[in-house]
Amino acid sequence: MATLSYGMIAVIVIFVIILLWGISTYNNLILLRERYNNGFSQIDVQLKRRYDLIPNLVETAKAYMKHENETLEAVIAARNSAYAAEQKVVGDPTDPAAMQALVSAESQLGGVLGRLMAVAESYPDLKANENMLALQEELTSTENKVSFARQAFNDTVTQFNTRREQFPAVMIAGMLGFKKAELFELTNEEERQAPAVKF
Amino acid sequence: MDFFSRQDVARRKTKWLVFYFILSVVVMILMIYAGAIVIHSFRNKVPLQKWHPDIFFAVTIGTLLVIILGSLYKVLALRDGGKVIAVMLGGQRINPATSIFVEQQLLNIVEEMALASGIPVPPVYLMKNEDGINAFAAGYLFDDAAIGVSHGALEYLNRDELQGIIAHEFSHILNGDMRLNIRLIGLLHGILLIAMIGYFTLRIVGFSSRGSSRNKKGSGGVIIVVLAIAFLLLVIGSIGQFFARLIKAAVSRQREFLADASAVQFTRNPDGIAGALKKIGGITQQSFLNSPEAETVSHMFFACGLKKLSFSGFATHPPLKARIQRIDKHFDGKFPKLQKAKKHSSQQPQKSKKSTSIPPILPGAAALPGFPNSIPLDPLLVVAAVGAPTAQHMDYAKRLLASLPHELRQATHDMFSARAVVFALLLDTDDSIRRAQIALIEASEGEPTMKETSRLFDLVQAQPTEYRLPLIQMVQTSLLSMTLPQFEQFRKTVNCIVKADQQLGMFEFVVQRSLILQLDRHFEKRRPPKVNYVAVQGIAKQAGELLSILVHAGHQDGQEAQTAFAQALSPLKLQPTVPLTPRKECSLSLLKDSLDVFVKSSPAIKKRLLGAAVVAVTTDGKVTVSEAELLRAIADSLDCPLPPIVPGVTSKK
Repeated sequence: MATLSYGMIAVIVIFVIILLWGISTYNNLILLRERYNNGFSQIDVQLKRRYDLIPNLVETAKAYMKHENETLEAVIAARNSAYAAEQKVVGDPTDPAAMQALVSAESQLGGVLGRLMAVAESYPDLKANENMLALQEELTSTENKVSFARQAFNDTVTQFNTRREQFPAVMIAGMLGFKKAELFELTNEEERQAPAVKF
Repeated sequence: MDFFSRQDVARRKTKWLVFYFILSVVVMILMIYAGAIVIHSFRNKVPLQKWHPDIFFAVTIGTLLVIILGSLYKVLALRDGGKVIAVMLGGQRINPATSIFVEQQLLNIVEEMALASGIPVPPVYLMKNEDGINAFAAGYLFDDAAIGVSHGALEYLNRDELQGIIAHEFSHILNGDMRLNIRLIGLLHGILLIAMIGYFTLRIVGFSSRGSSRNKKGSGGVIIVVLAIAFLLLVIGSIGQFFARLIKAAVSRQREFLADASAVQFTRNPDGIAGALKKIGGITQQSFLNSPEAETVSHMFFACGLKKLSFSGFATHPPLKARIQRIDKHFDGKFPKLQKAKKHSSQQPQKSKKSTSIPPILPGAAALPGFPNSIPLDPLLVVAAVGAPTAQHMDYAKRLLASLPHELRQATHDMFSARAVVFALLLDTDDSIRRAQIALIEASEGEPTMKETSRLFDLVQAQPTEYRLPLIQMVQTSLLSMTLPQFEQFRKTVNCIVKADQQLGMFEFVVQRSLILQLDRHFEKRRPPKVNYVAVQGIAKQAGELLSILVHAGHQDGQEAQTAFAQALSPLKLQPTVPLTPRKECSLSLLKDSLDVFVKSSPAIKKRLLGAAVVAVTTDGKVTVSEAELLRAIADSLDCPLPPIVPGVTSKK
C-alpha cells in the first residue's frame, strides 16, 4: 500500500505540474495576444485620423490642381481601400490575411500620397495655402505617431510569435487556436519617404 | 478610520484568511486520510485500523504539495497586476485616444478620480462580451491597478451612475482591498486544484479503462482503487471548495458596504451609485457575467456576477435592495424595468464628441482663480485625505482637467506625444541648457519626437506650474503601452535630460521618484518592498534628515528653520531628539537615501512621518508649488496616495 501511495503521489504531482504548465502557457499566450491587440489599437486610432484627413487634403488640393484629377482620384481610391482593409483588421486583429491586406493597402496609399506631394511641389499657390499647410503638418505628426505605435506593435507581435514557437509551448499553441501573428511592416521605399515630404 | 488604519486592517484580515485557509487544509487532509484508510482496509480485506503512518504521510505530503503548487502558481501569475485579471476576463484595453463617445466619457471619469485621489491614471478595460452591468478593480498596488467595465454598464448607465460605480472601485483600490482579493484567489486556487485532479483522473481513467476492459485481471483492482481515490479527491475537493467560497464571500461582503459609502462621500452624489444599483435590478441580465473565469474573481466585482447561487452564504455581495437602502432610505424595493438604452448608436459619437472632448478653455495662467504660488492649508486635513479624497478634491480635478488646453490633454493620450510631454516638462527655462537638452532628445529619440517636444514646450510653459504633477499622472497610462525597448530608450533619454543642467531640481526628482519608479515596477516587475521597521526609533536619523530637507526647502531664515524643525519633530516623539541637518548637507541624494529606508516602514510609521512632513512645510502657513511637489514625491515613495493640495481647505474645528 505504501508503495502505491507514493506512486500515486508522484503521479498526482506530475499531473498537477503538467496541468499548471498548460494553464500558465495558455494564460501567457492570451496576455501576449492582448498586448499586441492593444498595440494595434494604438495604430488604429492614428490610421483613422489619417483616413479622415486625406479627403480634406484632396478637397483643398482640388481647387488648385485642375489638371491632376487622375492623381487625386488615385489617392481617394487608395484611401478607401486602405480604410476597408483596416476595418477588417479591427474586426479581428489576429487574422494574418487581413493584416497582410492592410499592409499592402497602406503601402499603396503611402505611394500615391507621396506622388501627390511631389506633384504639389509645382503649384506655388497651393504650397502657400494655410489650410494645406495645417493639413500637411497634421498628416506628418499622425505619420510619426503611427510609426512609433507600429514599432511597439511589431515588438509585441514578435514577442508573441517567439513565445508561440518555443519548444514546449509550440505543442499546444496550435491546439488552443493561437495563430501566428503578422507584422505591420511597410517595405515600400516610396512609402517610407512619404511622411518626410516637406514644403 | 483613515487610510493607514484601513491598510492595517487589510493586513490583519489577510492573517485571518490564512488561518481559515490552514484550518480547511488540515480538515481536508484528515478527510482524505479517513477515506484512504477505508479504501485500504476494503481492498486488502483487513479490519479497519485508525493509524497508518505511511498512508498518513503520503496523504499529507501529496495534498500539501498540490495545494502549495496550485496557490503559488496562481499568486505568481496574478502578481503582474490588474491587467492579468482584466485580460483573463476577456477585457480589452480602451485606447486613451478613443473616438467613441461613451468610452471617452468613461476615461474622463477615471482620469478625474485618479487626479482627485493622487494616483496614476489606471488603464481601463472593456469587457465586450458582458451585457450585464458590472465593473471591477484589480491590481497589487495603486500603480499597477486596472479598472474593468462591462459593455452593459456603458450601454445602460448615464454619467453620474457610471461615476458612482467607478468611485466604488476606486475606494477598493484605495482601501487596500485589491491585494487581499488577489491573495484570496491564489489560496482558493490550491483547494480548487484538488477537486480538479479528482475530476480529470476520473474522466481519463474511467474513459481509458472502458476501452481496455478485456485487459488482464490484475489491473482491474488497481483501476478501481485509482477511481475510488479520484472520486474521494473530487468529493473532498468540492467540500473544500464549499468552505473556501464561504470564506471568500464573508470577507467580500462586509467591504462592499464600505466601498458604497466611500463612493457616496467621494462623489457627494448618492443618486449616482444608487441609480446604478437600481438599474442592475431592472435588467434581465442584471450584473451577471458570462466569462467562465467569473467564479474565481466574483468577489472583485461591483455587483454579484454569478447567476446561480445555491444559498446566500456564497453571495460575495450583499443583496441589491439592502445596498440601495443604505444609500437611499426611501427605496421601496421596486426596480425600474429597463429597455436597452440606445446610447451609443453610430450617429451619436460625432455629435456629442465636440461638446465633451473639447473642454471650455479658460484663459491661460489665471485658469484657477485664487490659485497663487503658495497655498494656505491645514496639516491635519492633508494627512486625513490620504487615500480618502473628498468631493472638494473631485471638484478641483474636474476644474483642472477642464482648464487644460485640449491639445495638451490630447497629447497625454497618445504614447508618442506622452513621451514628448514628459520631455517638455523637464526642459530647462534657460535657453542654452534647453538647446543642449533638445539636441540630446533629437540624438536619442529622433527628429519627430524632438519637434513634438518643442511644440509641447510652448504649451506647457503657458500653464501654471501646478499643472506639472497632474500631467505626470496623466501620461503614465499612455506610457504603459510602450514596449520594453521603447521604455528603456525613454528612461535613458529622461536621465540625460535631467543631467544636462548639472543639478537635480525638485521637479526632476519628482519625475524620477514617481513616474520612472512606477514605470520601472511595471516593466521590470519589481516587487514592492517588505516592512522592516515598525518603530520610529530605528529610523530616527533618517527622519531627522528628511524633515531637515523639507524645512530648508521652505524657510530661508536659519532661526525659522530651527523652529519649524522642532514643530515637525514633535509628533514623532523621538527620544532623544535628532539635530537639524545643516542646509549645506541637505541634498536630494540624501533625501533619496532616507526615502529608501522609509519605504520599508509600517503604515503607522508612514502616517506619522507624512504628518511630520506636512507640518514641516506648513508651519509658515504657506505651501509653495515646489514644496507640494516634494510632498507628493515623498508620499509616492511611501505608497501613500496623496490627493492634490487644494487651495482654501481649512479645518472645521
